[in-house]
Order: sequence, then structure tokens, then C-alpha cells
Amino acid sequence: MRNNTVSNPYMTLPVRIAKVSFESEDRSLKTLELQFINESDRKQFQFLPGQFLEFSIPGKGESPFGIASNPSEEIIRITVNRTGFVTEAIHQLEVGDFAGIRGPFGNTYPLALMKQKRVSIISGGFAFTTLASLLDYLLEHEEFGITGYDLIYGARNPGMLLYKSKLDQWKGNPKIRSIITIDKEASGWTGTTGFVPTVVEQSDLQPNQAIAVICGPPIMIKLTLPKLVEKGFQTDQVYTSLERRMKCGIGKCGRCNIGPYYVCKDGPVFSLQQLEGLPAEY
Amino acid sequence: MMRFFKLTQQDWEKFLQHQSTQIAVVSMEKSKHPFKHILFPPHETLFYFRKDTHKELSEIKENKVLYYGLPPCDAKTIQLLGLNLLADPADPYFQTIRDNTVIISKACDHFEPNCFCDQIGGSPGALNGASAILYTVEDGFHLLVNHDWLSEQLVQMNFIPSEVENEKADFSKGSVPVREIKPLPIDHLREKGLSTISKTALWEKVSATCLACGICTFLCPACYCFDIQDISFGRVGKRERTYDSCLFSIYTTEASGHNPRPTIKERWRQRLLHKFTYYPMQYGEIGCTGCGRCISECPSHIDIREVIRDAEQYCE
Amino acid sequence: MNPIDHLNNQLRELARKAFQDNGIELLIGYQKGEDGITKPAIFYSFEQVDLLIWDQQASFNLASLVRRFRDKKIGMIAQGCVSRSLVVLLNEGQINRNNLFIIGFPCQGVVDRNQQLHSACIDCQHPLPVIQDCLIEGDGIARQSDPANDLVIELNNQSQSERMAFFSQEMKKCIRCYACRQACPMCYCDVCFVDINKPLWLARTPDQQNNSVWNLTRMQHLAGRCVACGACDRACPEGVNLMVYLKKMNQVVKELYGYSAGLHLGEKPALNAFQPNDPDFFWGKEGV
Repeated sequence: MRNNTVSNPYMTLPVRIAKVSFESEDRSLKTLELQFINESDRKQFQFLPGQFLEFSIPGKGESPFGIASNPSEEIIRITVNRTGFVTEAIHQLEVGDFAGIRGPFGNTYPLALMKQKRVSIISGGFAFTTLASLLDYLLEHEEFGITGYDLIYGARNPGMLLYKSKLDQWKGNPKIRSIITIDKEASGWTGTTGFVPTVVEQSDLQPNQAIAVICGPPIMIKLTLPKLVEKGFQTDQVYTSLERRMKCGIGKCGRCNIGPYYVCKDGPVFSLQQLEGLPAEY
Repeated sequence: MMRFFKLTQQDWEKFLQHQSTQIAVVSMEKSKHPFKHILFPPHETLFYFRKDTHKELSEIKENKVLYYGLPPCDAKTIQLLGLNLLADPADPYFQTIRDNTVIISKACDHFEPNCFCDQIGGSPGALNGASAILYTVEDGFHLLVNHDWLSEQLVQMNFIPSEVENEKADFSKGSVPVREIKPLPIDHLREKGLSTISKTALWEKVSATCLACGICTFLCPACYCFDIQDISFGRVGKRERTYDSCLFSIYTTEASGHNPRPTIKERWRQRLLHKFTYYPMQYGEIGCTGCGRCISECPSHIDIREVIRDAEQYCE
Repeated sequence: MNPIDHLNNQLRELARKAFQDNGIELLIGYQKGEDGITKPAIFYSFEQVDLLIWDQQASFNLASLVRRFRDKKIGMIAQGCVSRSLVVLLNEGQINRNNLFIIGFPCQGVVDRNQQLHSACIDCQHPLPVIQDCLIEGDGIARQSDPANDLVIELNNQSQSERMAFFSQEMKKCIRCYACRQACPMCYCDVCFVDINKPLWLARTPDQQNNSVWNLTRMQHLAGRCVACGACDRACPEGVNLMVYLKKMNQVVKELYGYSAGLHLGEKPALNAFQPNDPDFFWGKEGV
């Protein structure tokens, strides 16, 4: 008999819930900050923006979540939308509760390609998580020589925008041209109104020496990509993070297979060029 | 290192007898159930857990077993599943079973109505990742061994090996039936399968009578999709994996309700292209052994050979 | 000419007419596969009808294909049990009668893989279609079960523990591939109860316990709706004996409510209707 721990990629690393907050008034979006029980686990859990983890509650199951915290932070931050069996259980967790995580999984945003370039970030809804990690990371690493940032981020209503304090911070940063938009007029909202694809169309994003990263619900991506192409972005300049139902997270169970790729292993970050010619199963 | 042994019927029986005093020895033959059900069981406990202390415990039993008599198409499972399950990070459950399994397959002496291994580049006498393969000859058997431990066992019993000079040679000559049959156009699918993605007419035709029951995937030696589910009994429980099927409607359905493969057309496209286009792109081999179980057990008797030929028409 | 060939000629003639004169867009029937096995097929034109056949190997219930084409005008061939399945689907509002053109024909029974008459057919009382738009005349073969060879009677006479032992053995065979569900025309729920996880009714594990929950619940969901066509039993790759339980269930529904599914257009399934004098002994009164 063999008792496997670390060498078994299906077993989890124990974490403790260190902090809990709600992003939206309807409490459907819950942000958790996780602390590893074992410091050695945190040391081994080296990740870069774009990667995800599997969050496990024994007895309920696992769900994949993009990592929203900066790799240099001690805690791991994720934001969970309450939609299903497992996320319902995650929403019951309080500070001090235990859980398990596996990871980090997947590939990262193309950090090397971003050096000396302008980075345009486009996002919608709660897909913004890994992009928060990306922006924090890039701002921290000035040696990348990023020439400037665009941030176009939209949500259904102001309540559904993630990390509002961060958004305010970034608004004040002269290197970042940020447009935060909501779908329809709402009382008290003085910012932009309009769907993300329209805002992108009307913006002056330009492709010269730029890399665009876009994360959001499938419909938003579908409508926004043509706008970027119209502006002259080439397919190898635009990157997206795909979402799929996942189980193992390590390219074994077959669920997230699209063409020759496993979204959990070869992705979730793909360039538009890679997705050309593949079935649009996302 | 490959080795060659000549054995009489008595030698063979003596060998099996001796092995069975040391390890479990199981006789197999081609049946409806693929060998996959042993290598990669329909349900497997990944680990047990306690909810309060969050302790996890996995137990993977290491029992050495010798299986003999399998047809080459069953032996191929080990090779095909291994390509995916042993890729980094290796699946420790499959790895343990595989490392403790010795397979002596037996070359077939006839083709069944739905066999088509020889139409997809295989043969009823191929080694296919088995530890050894037995060829029946006039005065006994020829045993081709590609497994150090097994070679050693035979040598210790004073069976004399000959070295194999050319490992790619065809040792099955004369021992297996050969038939005049047109190969299936799998090269087209391998290279141009992606061009059929948008050909709705093809997928409509192929899936018109498919019930999406999943029998084909459950009995296929090359299918491996699984689901992971937690089962709890109060404070303790286990995390299990069970067979799943890309043909099931909820396979890709997300918590939001969105399903990237909403109808049976997209799911059949995934099944066919995964086997004959995507798997070769990822690992170099097609995900099919030509055993024909998917044809004989399908309630609608959908014939994958016909589907491959149809799909070829639509490749560009 | 042997009777089956004669029947097939008549079927083809009527099918061609259905394309030409009755405006069907597709025909659901059977054809011979490469290896000689009779399998379900969709015919999209007058010319393709040349391949249409029926014989005793036609083990698939064509009614399970009707819902996916319900926006079109469908032609189909149907004998007793298949036509009864259509009646149930019509009574449950799953398809529009105007969209169906039914070519009825008499049935001699269907055989299993061993060329033996299938257990659904050995006591079939309805070989002739109960609904059709045109009919091929002929004698269907109605059969009575042989009481000496009837597993339902045999199990009825056994003790509860003996019956449980038999049932457990059957449930051990099940691999939860859901072929039974997919083959049954009446299992058409968009989301089956096994695919729901809030609440989680049963685990996916194919062990005897969970398999029992699956099979019993599916059968209960079919009470008053099952026409005992045997498609589920024939589809099962593991040879689980589903027929004996479905037959028993249908007998109980007949005893309690005097009802058999799929015989009359326009009636409500037994368990969807309530009569004041419905039997209620099972509520536990009178020491039952």
C-alpha cells in the first residue's frame, strides 16, 4: 500500500480562510483570501498571472478559480460567483474555516511578449480576477518597461464590478488609461455607460507595439474580438483566457479538451491565432 | 530489450503454473468488456477525507498480476491510455496499476465481423505495448518478450532466449490471419480533420440516430474521460472518479447553464475528431484500437468505419 | 416471395407515396448495415427509400427518434409497441399529430442477439399498430406467456429475501451507461434526475446501491407510461433483466387503475389523473 501526499496531483494542500468580503450588494460575488497552513506549501506554490487553482471542499467537490492576487502577496485571493453546488458551499465558508487547494495550474499571460509594449486589458464581469493579478504584477515589475496601459472593464451594474478600491487606485495612476463602464444607466454612476464591445469600438485603442488581453463571458468575447481586429490588431497580439467546466485541472479527465488542447494545461490563456481553426466550444 | 523464446505447450503451462505460485495469474480472452476495466476501473477512490481535520488519505494497492490470453487490441489500451494518463503530472493510480501489471497477449487466429484493427494500421499480431505476445506455431508457441522482469523469469526457468536484432521486424508472419481489405482513410482525418469542424451536414448525418447513451465510450479501450465526485457519510467521505462520456449532454455544461456542445452533433464531432485528429496531434497516435466493440454494442448500430469514410469526404 | 420481403415491398411503396403525396420531409425507419445488422436510419428522399427494410432483428424503438425532428413533418413505420410509444408521446404533448405520418404494419416479434424471440415479444398482446395514417394489412402474432416459463410469476412466488437476492445480482451488473434511458422513447426529460446535483439524488458510482436507486427510480418515472417495448432491455450491454421489473410494474398499474399505456389517443396517463374511487389501500390503513 502506498500513502501518497505530494506526489499525488489529486490531493490538496490545506489552507485557512484568512479574510472574506463581498464584492456585490446581492452577495453573489465573494472574495476569499487564503493562507496556507504549511509555509513550505506557500513556497512551493509559485504562480504567475493567468494561472488558476482548484478549490476543494471535502464532501462537496472542487471548482477552478483564476488567481486574482499578485504573486508577491503572502495570501492567495480568489473571487467566487455563487452559481452551483460547490460555489454554494464555498459561500458558506467563514474566516477560520479550512479548505484545500491544488495548483497552480495552466499557463500564464504572455509576460515575455509584453516587455517594452503597451498592454491593453479588456474585461467583463467577474472574469476580471486574473487580470487584476496581471496588472498588479506588471506595475510592480517596472523592469518590464511597459510603455502604458489601457483598462476597459465593464459589468452589468456598479455592484458587480470587482475590486472597486483597486479600480479607484488605478484610475489615479497616470500610466493607466482606464474606462470603467456599466451596461445601463444607474443612479449615482457618473462613469461611462455602454457594453464593453461598444466601448472598445469607440475607444482609441491602437495595435502598434501593443498586446491586448481580453477576459469575459463568451458572448462579450465573441462581440469584442471583431472590434479589435477592425482596429488592426493581429491574431497573435490578442490573448484571451478561456473558461470551461473542469474537474481534474491537470489534463487527464478530458473535459476541457478543445481541439488538440486541454484548457487546463495548454491554456487557459490562448492567443487568437491559436484558436483559429478550432471548434468554438467555449 | 526484446527477446524471443520458443516454447512447447508444456513449457507454457509449466511457466504459468510456476508464476501462479508467486503472483496472481489471470486468464483472459476477447470479450465484450475491454481490458481497460481492469487497468482503469469504472470507479476508483482517489482518497478518503475527514471533514473536520481536513486530513486526506489515499491507498493505492500494489498487487503484481499477470494477465495472459488478451488480444492485441486489448493490450493496446496500456499504450494509448498511458499517453494521456502518464503525461506530466502522471496519474499515480494508473501508474501503479500499470507498473504492477504484466500482460502476455495472444495473437488472434481469426477476425470477427466488427474487427478492423488491420484497417487502421494495426494488426492482430502486434505487440502494442504488452509485456509479451504469444504466437501459436505448429509445435508450440513463439513468445516475443519486451519486459525485463518477464525475460528474467523465463531465463530462470531455463528457457533459452534469442536476442532480437531488428525490433521493428514483423514477428507475426505466418501466425496470424491476413485479409485483403481496404484500409480506412484515417490519414485524411489525421491531417485535415480540423477542416470538418464547420461541416454541419456531416455531423447531422453521423449523429442522426445516435442516442448519446455512452456505451461506445464505456466499452472503448481508448476512451478515458472521467468525472470526479465527493461522497460523504457524515464527517468522513471519499473523493471518487467514475467513467464519464463526452457524449453525455451535461459533460461540458457549465454552472451558468451555458453548454459549448449543446447538441449531439457537436458531441459526435468531438468524439470522432478527438480519436482521429486531436489525439494524434497531441500524442502521435490515433485513439482507436479497431476492436469493434463500439459497433457491436451500439443500440443504433452506428458504424464508426462508415463515419470515418463519410468524414473523409468532407475533409479539405 | 417470403412474407418479410413482401412486407418490405409494401413498406417502401407506402414510404415513397408519403414523400410524394403526403409531404413528409424525412422518414424514420430501418436499413441494413455493412455487416448485415438491421439498424435505425433516417431517409431524406424518395430515392433513399430503396434501402428501407424491417425484419425481426429491428430491435430499436423508432419512437425515441421522433422528438429531435419534431419541427419537421415526419414519416415513420410503426408496429404495435412503436405505435403505442407514439400515442404516449402524443398524449404527453411531445409532438404534434399533424407532424406525423404513420405507416402501420403488423409485427411478428423481434429477436435478440441469439435469434431468440425477445422477452418483450413472448407475451405481446398488441402486435398491430394502434394508430396509423395508412396500414399494411396482415396478421400480427399476439402471444401469451407460458406460465411455466414466466419469470414474473416465478419471482412473485418467491420470498422477499429471494427476490432481493435476484434484484441485487442484476444491479451488480449495471455500469450506469444510461443506454436504457436513451433508448426509451418516454425518457425525454431535458435534465434527468441523475444529472442534478442540487440536491444530489445519487452518486455516479456504479455500485449495487446506487445502481438500484437509478433503475428503480427510472422505472417509477415510467409507471403508467411504459409500453414494454423492450428497447431498454435490448440496449443494455450488460444484460440486466429490465423486462421482468417493467412487466411487473405494468401489471400493478393495470390491477390498480385498469390502465395500460399508449392504447388510446387523448387519454391522460394513469398517474397523471385522479379518480375519487382510486385504490388507496397502500396508505397503510387496515393493517396493510
